Amino acid sequence: MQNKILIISTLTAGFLLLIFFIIKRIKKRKLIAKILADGESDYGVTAKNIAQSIAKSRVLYKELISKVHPDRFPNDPVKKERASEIASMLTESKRNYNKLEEISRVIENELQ
Amino acid sequence: MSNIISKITTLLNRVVDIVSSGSLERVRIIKEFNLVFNEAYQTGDLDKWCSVTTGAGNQQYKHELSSFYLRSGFKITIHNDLNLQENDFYEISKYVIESAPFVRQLMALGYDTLIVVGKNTGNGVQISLKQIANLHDYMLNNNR
Repeated sequence: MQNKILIISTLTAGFLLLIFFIIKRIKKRKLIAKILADGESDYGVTAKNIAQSIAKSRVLYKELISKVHPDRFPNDPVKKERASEIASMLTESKRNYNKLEEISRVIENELQ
Repeated sequence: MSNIISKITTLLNRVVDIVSSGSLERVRIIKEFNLVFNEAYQTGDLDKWCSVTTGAGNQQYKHELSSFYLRSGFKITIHNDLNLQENDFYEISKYVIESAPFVRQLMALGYDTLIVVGKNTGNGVQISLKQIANLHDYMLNNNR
């Protein structure tokens, strides 16, 4: 009788452990899927951006930051304020070529 | 000789990646990066010849989704590294960790260490990915 109880409790514990392990694994899989879906799914795009950033972002950043210097808009306070906002955006994205290109288009539209 | 060993190691890593994770994501990311880096170097866009492999990570950088430490390093090897200073390796790593979603993707694929290393000099840097993008905060924000 004691042996039976021991076997049943061992099996139950093993079963519960297995369930716990499976639930943990499912949660992990879901988290991984969510993280992967949140980012860019085409790794080629990310890789290309990184390669272009290494090669070109420093030059593009310098070119753009000179375009938004507040001294370029001494008589237009609205543009001057916008230029300073864009300058902070540029500084935040100085190592991201794609974002710098996006900001470049904003500069063309709003400050030229 | 070292090229043959490198090719065998890459092949073994790919097989282990597919078997252990049940998906081709790690193989795909390495392949895409190598393709783009090779093309950028050949066209002259990039002056550094880089290749990406899976290598041994740093055990101190382990996180919830880390792979076995021998395969938890996202390793970028720079082949023409003779003129590079330690600061240059650090600068290159900054471009890779610039995007938090991408760093989280690397972490989700089991990487915990970004390694940027020179092939000839052996100099380089190791960056802990969990210090760049915290998975715990991400989980909390997504469970709200």
